[in-house]
Amino acid sequence: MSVDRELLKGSSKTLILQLLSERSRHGYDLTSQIKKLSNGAIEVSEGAIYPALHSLESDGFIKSEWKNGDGKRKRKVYKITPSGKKLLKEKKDSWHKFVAAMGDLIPAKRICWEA
Amino acid sequence: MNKHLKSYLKKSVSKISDPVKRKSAYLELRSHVFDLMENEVREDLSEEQKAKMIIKRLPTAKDFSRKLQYANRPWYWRYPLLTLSMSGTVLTAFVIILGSHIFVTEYLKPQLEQNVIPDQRIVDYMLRDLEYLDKVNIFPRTTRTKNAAELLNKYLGGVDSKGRDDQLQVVQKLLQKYHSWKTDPSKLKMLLSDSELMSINTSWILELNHYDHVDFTKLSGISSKIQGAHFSNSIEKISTWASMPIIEISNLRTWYSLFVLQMHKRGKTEQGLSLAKKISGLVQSNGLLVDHMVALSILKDQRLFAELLNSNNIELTPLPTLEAYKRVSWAWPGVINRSYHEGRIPTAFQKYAKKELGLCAGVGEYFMGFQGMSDFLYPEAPFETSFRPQLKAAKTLAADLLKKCDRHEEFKPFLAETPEGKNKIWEENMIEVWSMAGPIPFKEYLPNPSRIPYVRRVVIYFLMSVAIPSYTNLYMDLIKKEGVSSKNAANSG
Repeated sequence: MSVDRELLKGSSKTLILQLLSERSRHGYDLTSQIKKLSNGAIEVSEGAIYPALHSLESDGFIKSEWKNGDGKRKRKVYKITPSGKKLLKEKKDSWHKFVAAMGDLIPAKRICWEA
Repeated sequence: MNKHLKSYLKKSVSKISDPVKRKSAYLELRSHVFDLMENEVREDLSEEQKAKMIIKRLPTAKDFSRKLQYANRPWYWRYPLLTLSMSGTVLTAFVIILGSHIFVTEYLKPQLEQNVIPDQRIVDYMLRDLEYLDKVNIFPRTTRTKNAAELLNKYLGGVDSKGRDDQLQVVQKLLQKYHSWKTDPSKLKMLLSDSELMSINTSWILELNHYDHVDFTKLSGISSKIQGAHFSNSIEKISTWASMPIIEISNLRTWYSLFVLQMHKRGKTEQGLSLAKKISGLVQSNGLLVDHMVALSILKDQRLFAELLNSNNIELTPLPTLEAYKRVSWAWPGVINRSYHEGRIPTAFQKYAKKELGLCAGVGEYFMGFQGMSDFLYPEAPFETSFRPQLKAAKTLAADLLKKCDRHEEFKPFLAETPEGKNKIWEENMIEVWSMAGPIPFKEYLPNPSRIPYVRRVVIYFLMSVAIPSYTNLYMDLIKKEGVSSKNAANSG
């Protein structure tokens, strides 16, 4: 089951930074990793990933370089910067608070079980 | 690569304005498309079919290009407020610089020049007066060994009350009692019969015979103020000059009137009248415009008293001479001000630039003018016209003119450069400066206009145009009068 696109809005940059904090990646790698790691629940389209990557690069949170990939063709590979790591930390803190708050507000499963 | 895909990719990156970024995005998306083809499309499909599938999966080229354009917009569109405020600042600075330049050069400077450069007819009339006065020499240059300032200060009032003789009020009261005595013979008779007339001691006026000049700047109350100006800024210097204690020299005329009446009662009318020349010469030697006017009024009184008291054996200064001296004394400030602008006295006036011919009336009125401007004109901010050569020439001229007026030593502190750190941005004494532009309700710590680049030129030109009265009115009146009489003569002829 895929996640509502509205919920994903504003989170794509956090996802990108999180994946880049593990290692350098190119655009296709990022889209396929997000899909794979979320068991297909989250799909970030090309229309979202590339603008987000370019925007993060312009703001200095990531940087890119062209590298030869698998001996075939060149790929643009992105790498997180120190300011990107700082932003990721802030985003993660904020995200955890949000999830906790939402959990408090909508404890649907718990209420059903108690009832 | 399939032509449809190629076209799709080109359209998708078409709105990225930076060509380097556009090319990079194109290559990046192309690489992504290859990845998709390799990994997510069935291999048995034709190139055409693969391309169609890929394009179907990707966002529309229009949507994609809009998103990529936004993500790759130039920095100035990324920070609109910063860009807007920077543009606003640059525009404001430009308007201030250009506006002040236009306002000064197109409006204030011509207006000021119009005020200070006399009409050629005035120049001709003034030169005629100077030529005449140079021959008659009514105020010969005095020696400067014995200064009557202390004596005059004691009886006339002005600088501190210590040691002052307060008989002045008694004299004024007595003369006011018969206020029209100069025009009404009956009142003069009553005044001469008043017992109080002879009770006032005027003998100190005879002492003036032992002095050869007057220099009020030597009085301790004035001299200490001038010395204090050495370490002040231009505006403070003007302020010091403007608030200088004034010796009420016009009271000397009152004392002299009483003295002549007493001498008349003693049967020594001619002796009393003859002293007018000495007294007026002393007063004129102090050099300011007001001194010149008092000196002339004493000589006019001499003529009046000679007539009132029927004294025919006294040599009187002709009225046209007095009128001519009055006119040149008033007009010299105009000539001197113009000279400061040009850095030299106009050639036609150079041979008449003498203390005896009223020059110092102009020097005393204006030597502070350019000094007061220096903080407003120097040092220059970028794009401000340099007035350094003019200031230097004006300062040299001021020193030279003060020497001609025997004031070069006393007034040195006024010509001193503003010491470092003495011209602050926020000053306590700015109220007088700003008040010239209109009444303002603040009293303390206003911005110093000489420290506001570009605007300061406007302020100084405005202040100067406000501060310059028309010194040549007497000549304008004469020109009008002579114009009418010559017209009448022509008509009757």
